[in-house]
Amino acid sequence: MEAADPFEQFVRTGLERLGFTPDDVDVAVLRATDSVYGGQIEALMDADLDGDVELDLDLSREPRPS
Amino acid sequence: MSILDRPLREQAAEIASGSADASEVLDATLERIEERNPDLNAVVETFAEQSREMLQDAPDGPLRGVPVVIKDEWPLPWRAHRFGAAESLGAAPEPGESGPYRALRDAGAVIVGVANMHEYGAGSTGHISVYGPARNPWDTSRCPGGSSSGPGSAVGGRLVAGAVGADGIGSIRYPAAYCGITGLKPTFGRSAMEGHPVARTTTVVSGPMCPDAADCRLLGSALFGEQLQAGDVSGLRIGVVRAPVAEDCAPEVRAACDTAVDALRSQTGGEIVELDIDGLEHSHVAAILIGTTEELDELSPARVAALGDDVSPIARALLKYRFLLPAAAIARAHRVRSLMRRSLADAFADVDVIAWPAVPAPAPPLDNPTVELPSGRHAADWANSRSGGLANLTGVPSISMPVGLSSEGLPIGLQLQAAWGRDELLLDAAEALERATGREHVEALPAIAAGV
Repeated sequence: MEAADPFEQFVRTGLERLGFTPDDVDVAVLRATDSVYGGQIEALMDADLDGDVELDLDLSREPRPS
Repeated sequence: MSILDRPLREQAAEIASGSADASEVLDATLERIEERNPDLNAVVETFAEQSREMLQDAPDGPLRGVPVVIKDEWPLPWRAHRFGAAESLGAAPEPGESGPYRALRDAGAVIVGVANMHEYGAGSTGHISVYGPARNPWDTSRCPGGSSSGPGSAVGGRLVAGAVGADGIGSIRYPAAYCGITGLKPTFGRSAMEGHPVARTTTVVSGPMCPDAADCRLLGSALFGEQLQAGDVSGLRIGVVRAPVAEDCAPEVRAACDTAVDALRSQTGGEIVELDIDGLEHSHVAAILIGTTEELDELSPARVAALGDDVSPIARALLKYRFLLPAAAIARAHRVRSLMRRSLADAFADVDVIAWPAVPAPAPPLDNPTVELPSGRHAADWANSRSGGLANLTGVPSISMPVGLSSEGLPIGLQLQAAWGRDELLLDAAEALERATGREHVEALPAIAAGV
């Protein structure tokens, strides 16, 4: 039997830790999703972002001057 | 021409003046749904008895007697919503008076049916639903867009002239673009939302989906609970960006949108301003991360594990994926949200609207929901959410309007975004563009609606 790659190991271990019983469909869907968004998530984690989170977030209006 | 083929506002005017009988309009609408819906699967349930009761009790409002449909995302007094899915993620939904229902009822509208939607609202294509996929009226082998797939298909196919959709990450604007209609995503918090399954959403809003902007103004006024006044758009300052969201599009889409923006500039005597929006490259994934995790506080792994086979394997897997997302990424997404709100506030000091395509390519096939872009072939969900997510991330209003047809005869949509609370400006701009093009694109009909 072929050994699972690191992504599959991560998915299966993570889902099992949460109480799921992961199957091949889970792995395939998550692999496809990660191939689409994984790079953007990694770039976000590494990004140098300006400014702080709004503490008084009101999405119905423009941000208040900080 | 049947009154059903007239705009929502003309239907309302004819009923109000007595030149059309509302009962006959209702019966004709139900007949039309029966006739056309088998090809579209846009409407998943009708309820003639309750519709007739609504008509009988309708107040003398601006939509008195006018038939509309509502997305399967809110309860009605006689029907619980299903959110396009076989099983609820939270408490079992119950019938009730939702905010959009009350808004329609109080305006005198008659709800004639519930419209299809993408399962759990979690897709931009509409190709997955517990009811089976809704179909695009321009080509029934194509996606109608999602998640407001049924409203888009129902209005595009002229089953009705007005529908209430919901927009969480572009879910009104994608089907509007795919189906050749106009759809308004309101400023966050301006439109009726009570009774939505994601009770504490920070991204989802209800909004009107209609053939053109004037009808969106009429239906939107009901949903907003206030009259959306028309204004002057002379000298409109139109912002454009040199970024993938505008440039990584099918060439026909880019050309049609560029032409439309130039027509809008010419019509309004305005100007086109090139913008550089700080942080735009991270706004896409930030919108996805926030939009897909804001209900996790009410969702347990045990609940997801208990979902049965009647929920699609993709939905079940994607729900599990949410629990594996890095917490740090979600925290950073909220920081991007603030950054983008500040960036847009700065941008809207220099421009009135920001324009780019509503979707980067026309509707893909139902059996292969991917799109070909200059950067390669992508899942339509990824490509569409890059176009639509910013407005939900930041709360600003946005509109999609038809601006042409592709060489395959599929609609192309232009998106305009404006500053918070300037929903009326978007409607004004859309109407200006309709005038500039002689209403050619809003009056174009698919064969199913043109009687061909």
